Amino acid sequence: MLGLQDLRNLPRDFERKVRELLNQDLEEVVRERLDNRVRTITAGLDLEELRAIFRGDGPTEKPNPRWKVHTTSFLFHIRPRYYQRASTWFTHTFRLGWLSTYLFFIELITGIILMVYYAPTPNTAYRDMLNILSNVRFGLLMRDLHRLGAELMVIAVFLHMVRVYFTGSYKKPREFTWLTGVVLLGITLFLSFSGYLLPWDQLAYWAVTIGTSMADKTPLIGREVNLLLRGAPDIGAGGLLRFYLLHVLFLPLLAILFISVHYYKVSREHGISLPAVVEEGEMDEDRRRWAKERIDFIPDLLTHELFLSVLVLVAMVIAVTVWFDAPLESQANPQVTPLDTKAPWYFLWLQGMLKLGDPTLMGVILPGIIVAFLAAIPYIDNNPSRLAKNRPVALSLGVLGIIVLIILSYMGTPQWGIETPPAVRIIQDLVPQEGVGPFRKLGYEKIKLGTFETDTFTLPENPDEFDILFAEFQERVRNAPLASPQGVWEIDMLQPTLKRVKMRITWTKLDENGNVLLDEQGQPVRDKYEKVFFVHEDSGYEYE
Amino acid sequence: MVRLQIALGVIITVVGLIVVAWIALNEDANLARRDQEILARRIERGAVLFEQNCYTCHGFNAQGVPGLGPPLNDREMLEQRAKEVGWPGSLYTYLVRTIAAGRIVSTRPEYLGGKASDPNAMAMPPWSEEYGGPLRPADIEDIALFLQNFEEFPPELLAEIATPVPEEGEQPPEQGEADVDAVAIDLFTQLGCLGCHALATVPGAVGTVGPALDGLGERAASIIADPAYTGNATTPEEYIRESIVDPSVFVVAGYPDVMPKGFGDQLSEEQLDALVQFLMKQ
Repeated sequence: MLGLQDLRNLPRDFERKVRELLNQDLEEVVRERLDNRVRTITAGLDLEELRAIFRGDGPTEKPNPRWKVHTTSFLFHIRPRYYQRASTWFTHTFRLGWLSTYLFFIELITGIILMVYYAPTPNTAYRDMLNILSNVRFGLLMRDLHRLGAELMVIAVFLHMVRVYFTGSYKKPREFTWLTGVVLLGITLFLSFSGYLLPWDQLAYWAVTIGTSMADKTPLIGREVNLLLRGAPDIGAGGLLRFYLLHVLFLPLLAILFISVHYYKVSREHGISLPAVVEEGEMDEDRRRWAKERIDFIPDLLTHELFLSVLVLVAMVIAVTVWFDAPLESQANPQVTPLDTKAPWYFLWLQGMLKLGDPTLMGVILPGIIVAFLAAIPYIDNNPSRLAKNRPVALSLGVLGIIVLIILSYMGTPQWGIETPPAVRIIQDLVPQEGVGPFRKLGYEKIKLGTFETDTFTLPENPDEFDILFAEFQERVRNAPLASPQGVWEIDMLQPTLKRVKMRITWTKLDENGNVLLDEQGQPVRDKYEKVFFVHEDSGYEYE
Repeated sequence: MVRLQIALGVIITVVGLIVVAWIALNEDANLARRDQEILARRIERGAVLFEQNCYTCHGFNAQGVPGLGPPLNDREMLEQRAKEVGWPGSLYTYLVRTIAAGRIVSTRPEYLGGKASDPNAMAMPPWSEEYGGPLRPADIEDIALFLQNFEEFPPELLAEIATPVPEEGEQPPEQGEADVDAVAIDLFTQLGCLGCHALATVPGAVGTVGPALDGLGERAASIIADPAYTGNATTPEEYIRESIVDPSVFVVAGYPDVMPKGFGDQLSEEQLDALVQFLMKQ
């Protein structure tokens, strides 16, 4: 208990305490406290050490405190303490594995933000897209980043695989790492593809309809697989929800699992492969020793990775600000099949193959064999050497494979092998079903009122953009493979802010032998294609 | 290398922050602009849907079809209607609801819905897929946005969009037979005949409410000769004219007496002639 005596002693105790404090070296106390705090945060590095790291100097204490971080910190324990110099050469790895992982994290973060503003039902999904674009601050930025990141990730993962193939890094003892890599390529493609449906626009709906109908062609269990994916014979509320769950839950978890396994093999078991020339090539022994020297992760590689992270992220932000836009077409409509349906670009090769033959063979069996072959490459290729000069067959097969992939992808584009009737093509090129096209691009103000006919139109002396566009239309109609074709644009106003445009192409109908078909009165029968659409004052097509 | 990368990294970060700050500064204006663009494009879409689905009863320019559907091309008038029926919400919700659910009973008997002869018929069908129609919620919203966008043309705009007068010395082209047919087909389409009557020579004429009109010229004589015929016509031309002007005098067996009655007042003599001539040839 506090007695009277204690109270009497209070001033003296206080005085003693002050004297103690005054006698201390305050600077040292602060430095020590700060050091402790910094060590806690950096998992063992003190201030002096941090400064040495930033200066690029060696460690200030022994044992090396920078290695200690790799045991005390969870995040750093995942990373190796050091790499062999040659395995970090930029031209050996191009940092593609790192880039794939980094993009995966960008996708996670932007994806979680987008999830806040999105509900996966047919009646709300598309509305939510419009809301993200017009009502959520930075919504467009997040959506564009998410989309760009997805496309870049497909590219990065693919190039990563190509690099590993050409440097022969899949060979013993890294066969299993390669296998998990092939699985990750598949997961990446399906992650991207499952996200395709979520905006619920025409692009999404039809690309996924085509994609899942391919599953339908699987022998024996095709119908079941298709039903499982779509949730019904056609994609609807059930299918959207299933794709959503695949995209935000199942596939990311699977990806995290396989990335972990893949990276564990790389970082803990075999390390990044050395360039073949260092491992087995002819090389000056001193240089080889230098190439195999250890480089600490902290600070050299850590700063390098931070630098790359900033570089990639800022480059992406600039790209979406300047030119990259995530596409958004009109709302999904099962009743309207778009004219130019196409698969996402990374599945164009599959669409190209489908044009070549039986869908079961070309869409399921052959791709299945290709994937199985990819996975089995390290087990098939028993050539122990990784040097390019010792692998002529493997390298030429690789180059051949890439060329075939490019040709198949080109064949998968809608222009190849699919004929659109000429009148439909001409008008579709001017005013596409989706997107802007050259006519709308003129903008509301420049679209003239009146009737314009290809038979009577002549280009005025000082033609404006509208006249030039009509002259091009005139030229195309005249040259179309149709009998006495005639094109008309009728443009009037329906509302004070709304212009109505009727585009029409008529031509004489021919029978199979090329003879003119006549009606009962002996007049030639005319066929026609017409498209009616509207342009509103505020629709802003001219700015796109 | 470490120092160089740190320095470059800092510079790049600053650049990135400047870009983000620039986006942030323009974000509110951009959101407003995109909001306006999205609205404008929904109006365009609504107009297309209107021309595809609503023209048979409300006309191609939403000017209405006498005896079928009321005009919709005036925002003030629509607002007035909403007040008259005691609608408590906005014009937009009034339009959305009316299009979605249709009208079981017409509020104005002079339009088709009034169909005094058939009190059980629905005035306007429901259009929402929720009630068995063909359109989805977003479609109906777009049509409502389009209708709301109807305003009176300001005088200066009217002058601008007026049809150009033919220059002096130019003779108006002679009306040939083909032109008369074209007038008739236009009328057949614009009056909404094709909504109820099928006719092979008119695109889109696939209605089944009234009898198909193919071969009418030949059939008309036998109809008049039939003792069941209750009208006053003595020639096929007269019969066709009578059916347009006064459709209730005789209704072909098996079809309801729902054809609008006002065409006699609405059409000029030339227009009626054109229609009769055209239908005689079918």
